[in-house]
Amino acid sequence: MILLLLHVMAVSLGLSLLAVGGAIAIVPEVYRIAVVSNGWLTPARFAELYAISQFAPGPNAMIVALVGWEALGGRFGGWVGGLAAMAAFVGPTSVISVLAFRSWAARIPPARQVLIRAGLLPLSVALVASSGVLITMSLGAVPVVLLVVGAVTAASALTKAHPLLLMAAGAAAGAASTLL
Amino acid sequence: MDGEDRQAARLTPPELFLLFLGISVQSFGGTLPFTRRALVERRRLLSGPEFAEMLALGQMLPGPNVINLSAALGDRHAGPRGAAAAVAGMVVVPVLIVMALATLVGTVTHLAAVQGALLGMAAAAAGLLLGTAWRMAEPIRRAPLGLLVFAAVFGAVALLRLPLALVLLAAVPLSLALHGVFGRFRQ
Repeated sequence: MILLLLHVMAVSLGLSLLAVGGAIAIVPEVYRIAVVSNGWLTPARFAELYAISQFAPGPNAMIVALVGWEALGGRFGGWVGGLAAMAAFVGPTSVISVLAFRSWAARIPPARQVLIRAGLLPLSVALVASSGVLITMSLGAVPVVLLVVGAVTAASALTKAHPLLLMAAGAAAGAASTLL
Repeated sequence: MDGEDRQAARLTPPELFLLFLGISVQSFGGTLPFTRRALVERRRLLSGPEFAEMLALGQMLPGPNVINLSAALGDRHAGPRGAAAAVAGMVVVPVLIVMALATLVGTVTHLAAVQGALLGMAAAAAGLLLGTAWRMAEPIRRAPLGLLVFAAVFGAVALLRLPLALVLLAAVPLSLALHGVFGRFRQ
């Protein structure tokens, strides 16, 4: 139990160091480590927890807490696991951030900052797109899944619809499909 | 004068905790707009350009961008304890909420309609990621270099499923070099 907890924290710490351009970028790696390598949860359960994490307020990284929660078996151990996973996820990177802001970050010439962001952007975009594809694939090629993914992709790319509204619409479509 | 102003505006760790707690619990669908509104428009702790600059620096560092920004702002106001208070305010309550939500959902997952709703929600979440990627990609849609890096990383991660650490180890220096980050600047 303690070993599992330490393992989950080590994984969370490793994930946080890979989160370039935001926490959303590490979803494919959370999937690879938690589902493929360690078998802490099934692909479908991962997608389910990711959906729940998007329905809660707070930073984008809540899937990390839920994976810790699930790996430790839900219930009481799960709550400890979730909090520990999140502490390991945000603690060390916050220290790095504080030290970097204090010493060098603001001293990088603005022109070079622009280039660094330009260089990192295609990486972030690729990781976010990969997350979308991996979650879709983990749900299986069911008609309702493909329909909802396509409609929500278009709506969120082209309109200003609120994310929660689109999630609710997806939930309604999914629930309706079980009644047909 | 300026020094006095800043002294007066300095927040204590409990104030920082509550400030970021307030931001985090209303941040549905992304913390960025809510953080900006609270720090720049309501509390005037940062100017618009200062916020943009801190966020940009946060994006270059590992870890969630907005949390990097909260840590740096907390440190500026109250040192390491301020940074810890700001980050804790940002994550502790949302983590408790999300676990409570998962527990509640767990009690009803045997119902077919709930399973269907979760499936639809997960599909919508995937669609939101793809839509977000499309919006984020605005600056690179017509940039061959950006598209090249995008395609390589997408192929490695989504299709070949390579470990992210390996992909980043190769792709970050390569992309930065291709974008001329390591070149010399003339004043």
